[in-house]
Amino acid sequence: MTLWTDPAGPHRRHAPAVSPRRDQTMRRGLLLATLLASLGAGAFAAYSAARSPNGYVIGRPHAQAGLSCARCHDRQQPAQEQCTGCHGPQPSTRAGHRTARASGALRCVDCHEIHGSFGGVALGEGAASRFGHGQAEPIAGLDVGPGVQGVVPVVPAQACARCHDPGDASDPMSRCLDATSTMTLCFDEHRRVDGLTLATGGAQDRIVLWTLAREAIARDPVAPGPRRSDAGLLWGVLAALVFAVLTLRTLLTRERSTARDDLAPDVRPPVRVRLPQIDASTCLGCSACVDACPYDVLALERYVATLVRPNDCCGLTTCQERCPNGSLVVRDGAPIDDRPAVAETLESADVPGLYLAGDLTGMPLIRNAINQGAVAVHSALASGRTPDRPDAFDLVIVGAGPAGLSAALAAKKEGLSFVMVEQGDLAQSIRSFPRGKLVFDQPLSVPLIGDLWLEESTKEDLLRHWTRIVRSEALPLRTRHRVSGIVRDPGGFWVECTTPEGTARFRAAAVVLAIGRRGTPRRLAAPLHPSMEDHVFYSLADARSFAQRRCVVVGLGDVAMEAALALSYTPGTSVVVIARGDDFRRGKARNIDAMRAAEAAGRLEIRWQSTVEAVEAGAVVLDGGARIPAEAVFVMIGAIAPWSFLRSIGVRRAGERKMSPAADPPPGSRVQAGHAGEASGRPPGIA
Amino acid sequence: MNAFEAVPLRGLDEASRARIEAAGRVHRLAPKERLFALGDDADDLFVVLRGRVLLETEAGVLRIAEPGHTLGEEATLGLPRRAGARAQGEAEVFGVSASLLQRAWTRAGGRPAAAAERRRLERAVIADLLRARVPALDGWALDVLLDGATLQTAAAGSHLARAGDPAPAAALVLDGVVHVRPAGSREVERLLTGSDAAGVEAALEGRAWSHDLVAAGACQVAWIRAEALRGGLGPAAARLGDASRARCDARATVLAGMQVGPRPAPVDVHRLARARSLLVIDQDACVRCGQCTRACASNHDDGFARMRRAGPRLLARMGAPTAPASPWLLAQACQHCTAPACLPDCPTAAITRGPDGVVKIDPALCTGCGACAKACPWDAIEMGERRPGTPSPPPPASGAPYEHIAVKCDLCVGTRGGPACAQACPTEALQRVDAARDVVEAAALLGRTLPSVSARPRVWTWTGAVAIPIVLAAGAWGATRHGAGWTPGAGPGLWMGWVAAVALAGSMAYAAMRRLPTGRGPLGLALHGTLGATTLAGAWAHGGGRFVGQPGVFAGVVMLAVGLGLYGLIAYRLLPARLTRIEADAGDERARAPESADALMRAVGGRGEALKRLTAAVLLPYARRFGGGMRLVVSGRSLTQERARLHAQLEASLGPERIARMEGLGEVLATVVTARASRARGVLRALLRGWLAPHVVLSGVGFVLLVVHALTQGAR
Repeated sequence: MTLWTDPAGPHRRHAPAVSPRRDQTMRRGLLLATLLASLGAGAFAAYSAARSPNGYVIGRPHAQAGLSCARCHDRQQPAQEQCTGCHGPQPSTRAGHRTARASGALRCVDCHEIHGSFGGVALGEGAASRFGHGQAEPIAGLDVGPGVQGVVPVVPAQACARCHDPGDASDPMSRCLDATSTMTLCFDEHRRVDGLTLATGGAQDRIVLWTLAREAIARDPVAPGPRRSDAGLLWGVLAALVFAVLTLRTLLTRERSTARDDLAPDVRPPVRVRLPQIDASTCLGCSACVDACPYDVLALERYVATLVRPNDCCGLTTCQERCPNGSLVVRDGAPIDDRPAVAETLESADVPGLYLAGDLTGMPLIRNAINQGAVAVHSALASGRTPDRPDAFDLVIVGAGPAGLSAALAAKKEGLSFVMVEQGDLAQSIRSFPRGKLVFDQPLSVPLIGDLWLEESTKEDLLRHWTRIVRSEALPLRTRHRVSGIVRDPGGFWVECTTPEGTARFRAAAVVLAIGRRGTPRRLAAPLHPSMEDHVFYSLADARSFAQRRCVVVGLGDVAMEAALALSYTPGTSVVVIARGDDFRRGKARNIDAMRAAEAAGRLEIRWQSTVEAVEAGAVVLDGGARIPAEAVFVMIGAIAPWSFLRSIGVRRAGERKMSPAADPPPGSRVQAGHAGEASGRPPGIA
Repeated sequence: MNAFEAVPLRGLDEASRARIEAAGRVHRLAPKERLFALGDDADDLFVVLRGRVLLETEAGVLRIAEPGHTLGEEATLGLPRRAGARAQGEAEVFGVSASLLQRAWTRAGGRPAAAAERRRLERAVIADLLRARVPALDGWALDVLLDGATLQTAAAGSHLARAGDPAPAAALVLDGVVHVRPAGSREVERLLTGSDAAGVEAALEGRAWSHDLVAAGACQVAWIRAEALRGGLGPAAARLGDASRARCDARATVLAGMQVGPRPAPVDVHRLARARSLLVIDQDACVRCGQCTRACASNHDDGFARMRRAGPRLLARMGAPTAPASPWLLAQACQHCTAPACLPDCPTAAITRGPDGVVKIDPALCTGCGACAKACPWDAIEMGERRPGTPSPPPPASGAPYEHIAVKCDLCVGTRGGPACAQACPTEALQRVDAARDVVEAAALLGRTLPSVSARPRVWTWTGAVAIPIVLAAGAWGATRHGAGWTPGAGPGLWMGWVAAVALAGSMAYAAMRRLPTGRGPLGLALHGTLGATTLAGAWAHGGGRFVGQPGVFAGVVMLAVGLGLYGLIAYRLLPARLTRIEADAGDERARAPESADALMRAVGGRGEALKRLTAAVLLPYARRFGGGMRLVVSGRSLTQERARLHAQLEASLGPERIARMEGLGEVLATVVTARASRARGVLRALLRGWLAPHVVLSGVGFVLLVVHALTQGAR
């Protein structure tokens, strides 16, 4: 029974840095947004309140007369009845109303709801309009004589309902109600018009006015409502404010999270050997530098960091950056001669038009390789070289590792015509990493340029992403194209490849060489039986695929030891290690200890002082004549550096260059080379 | 006497002396004053400077430490105090972190005397373990066993034994958790914890190990050689492993019951064993508001959050076996371990553990080297920029000032009311628990007894449910009375306006208080909801439900804000449990659809043709079905249940034999149900959280409008 499957534990070699949590960024700016929206809304509301306090609008006749709120309202006291000041005392014509008025029970505003919406009818200049609250609308089709002018206020039935019963037919007011029973149409409240006074012109006019008013009300019973424009405007402004601040907040948050420092990365390969120096008296023994080093150059011995493998130092200052108290300083040493001479543009100092990128330049780490790939393409573009034939490319990229891929993406972005050739498969050296290996993206102070995806991930994730990029960008990748020579003539380059189908030639104006440093794995000198060709391996990606097999590992370097150990832990696998020497001479102490333990436990067998004479079908024959049965042979005896190939195309080491500053190789010179394009050598940035 | 003149501290190099001086402390003890008690947690090692110190147990005085002697060596093994220490007369003792002292000794070339002391302690510890397991173990047999025993301290993930290796000795787990896996595999078959035995038969019969033994976390194992087992125990030796086998089977049942999510996930028993103050979040109550993280950040001057709302989940009961099992998220935050992994790795002993068990980092000693952050298996320590004004160790003459500092949870020591995260949680979903004591399942796995505690009921869920309808009904009643002598400007209408205003101000105060480190009660959300409902009811009654003019706009804004809030309360009540059911794991906030497709390709890759065809024809359309996730939510099935249902359906249509033959089907099914639910997860999260931003903005606007409204109306 299985409880669960353990995840592969991460190799914790760098301390996580505090990063803002999503929970923190999620609500970032909300308080500010609220404040902004509140202030905006408050200011607008205050402004609109000052314009029309409380939403009450002064009725049309009063507004036209230029009355202000304060004319009727006092700050300290409730609304005063101040109508009589302008209108004069207007006693009611009805006895009952007059009595109520005298006792103070009936005031002008009890019937005339000044801020109510019944308003009245205004007649004049040959037209009639129905007004209410603050607005007026014309009544069409009403024939108003030229001399008719006046205002007829309308009293709502509701006002009468305080004393009368509008529903009762016997109530006198029921005769005054309009068709909708919402207002009275008896306008003779204050002026009595009867036969006796009909002769006077004023009364005549009044009757005309009232008649027209009744007709106007019949046509337009509902007075225009209060001006809603303020409220509508307020709603609109509020909605806009809320929308604006919420959007702004989202934008602000997004911008901050994607903002990256746009420092120009330094792509110049190191010129001098740089080695860390440790002040043992101040060293804390915290192993920050040890964990920072991708190549295990440093180790902690008795709680003091020591330089154990100076030859592997890459010259980068990760360790120095991590040292908390400056006990470790990386200092310049002798000049590095073992690297191709390149200009700052990454153009070869020997062969103009040839650009170098990646590990080949002597600058390790995937991140640097990606940067260099992009920079090389940009320099090639800036040099202005153009193809001399219609079928020629702008660029040939040799090697499909991190640098080559990055160069291809940059070239595609710049619209160059190019082809990418690779002797093996995409990112071959990353493919040969152990299964599930965590590819460390050293969080250096190196910004990433170029478009190639890079994050701390497992080898499989990295490959998957890169394969997807090649497919989605339709990069012209020619795999299994092994570059046999690069010939330069005045018009450009011929890149010659051998392929499984034969040979291929590409004409290009410029070449980006991103073949890494590892070179070609060193092969066995012994004869190899054809049936065993598919059973000889130069790297071990997944030991589990060799379960239940008999394996032979040739070599005793770190790579060979790690492979042998991984195989020995696989169930049912028998492992024989063939070593030339008689004891462990080099390699990490950790590996040597594990090898000794594994040998003692009988997990593997080491044949000392042996060499392989031949690989026959199903067996390896040693120099002593011993036959070791083998279903898989791992040859891990180092690699041939790509120098002979580089020399063949005219690229020389910095050291050689100093001794004889010769000119370009003669144009048209042609040297067959043993090396083939291969991306990135020693695992860059892998820990 | 100067501490460095004492024999154990002589001959140290300058750097070590400076560090010991900075981290160490001189204890002046009055006669009979206690230095430490039996069973205390031990991190410090002591050197007697003056006077005498008695080491005693219940049995009596073990030894008398004189000036120059060391005491408390159990700290070097990470064990609790095995004896109490008391001053005889007046005494002066220099105490310093044992790990720092060991570093100093190693730098100076080792100290043989310490090794002898260590060996003595190891024997004593193994003897205790054996006595507990084998009754009536006499002195001679014990001696034989102890002579053949060695103690191994293994790092997390290291192999204690590999299948196929000869087994000359049996393993007794002293502390920590060990995974038993088949050869070369990562599948965990059994789980060994404290005092379990492994490999007894193999050792006695001279066989090889049949399984790999891997340390799940840092652990201590006693190896007892086969000869010693035979010699010391005789025929009884064979029975040594019986009890642990039974315990392993019981554990498997408990572990199966703790699984949340569609695929069996590792249960970090090691973490449960170590955690003294584990930050757990009940996923059925957690509304994913992130208030805990923000409160944490705002409660610390540097603004760094010490916790992250992500981590593994497990189904467990808190407090009592009768409590309902809930899915708990083990959030990423310092859990103040019983044997902290970070503590011995600190080169300057900046990490200390108080008598209350709180693990602290002293900024005045922290160099920001990151060793502790790397040592913590759960990423609870992170490195941050050191702010100006933070205490710092003096930089070396040549070096720059220390730029970084280790940041981790300090349990908000000094904050009234305890950790800010727990105080800030609006739904009381977040708790700090002692896993081995409070989690029923953890106690069962670790063989501890559980004190009977009853779980606290959550208040907010029912308070709001009762109060809100009542208040709203009151508002509706008020609104209907309008026109019958009820106006906003006077009488009860005006009073309702005042009620609404006061309630609005009150619920705004809740929002303001959320930004303070203290003063958040468990009643907060219920009170806030009730006040909000009161605002709504009051405003409604005050205005009579008419939205006219500027007061109408104001009423509309307030009612919209409050309405959103009331929706939120309902969403808080209903959605979290549904969301939890369809979450694959708590860390999947970042999961996107393409990632799921990736996961599916990975699950199918390398499997049989039949499975690939089935995936393409049936499972992929199933995963991509539009609205499938919401259908899952509505059905109420969890991803686990959905996976089982899918499996049953496939069996019914294809036949059980064909399904059984498909290798890797389980993983593919888990992936497709997760993918199917992915969009629904997003929708539920948006429903759960999306209302808050407009609620807050509109509430702020409403409050300002209230002020304007009150001023202008008051002016009338």
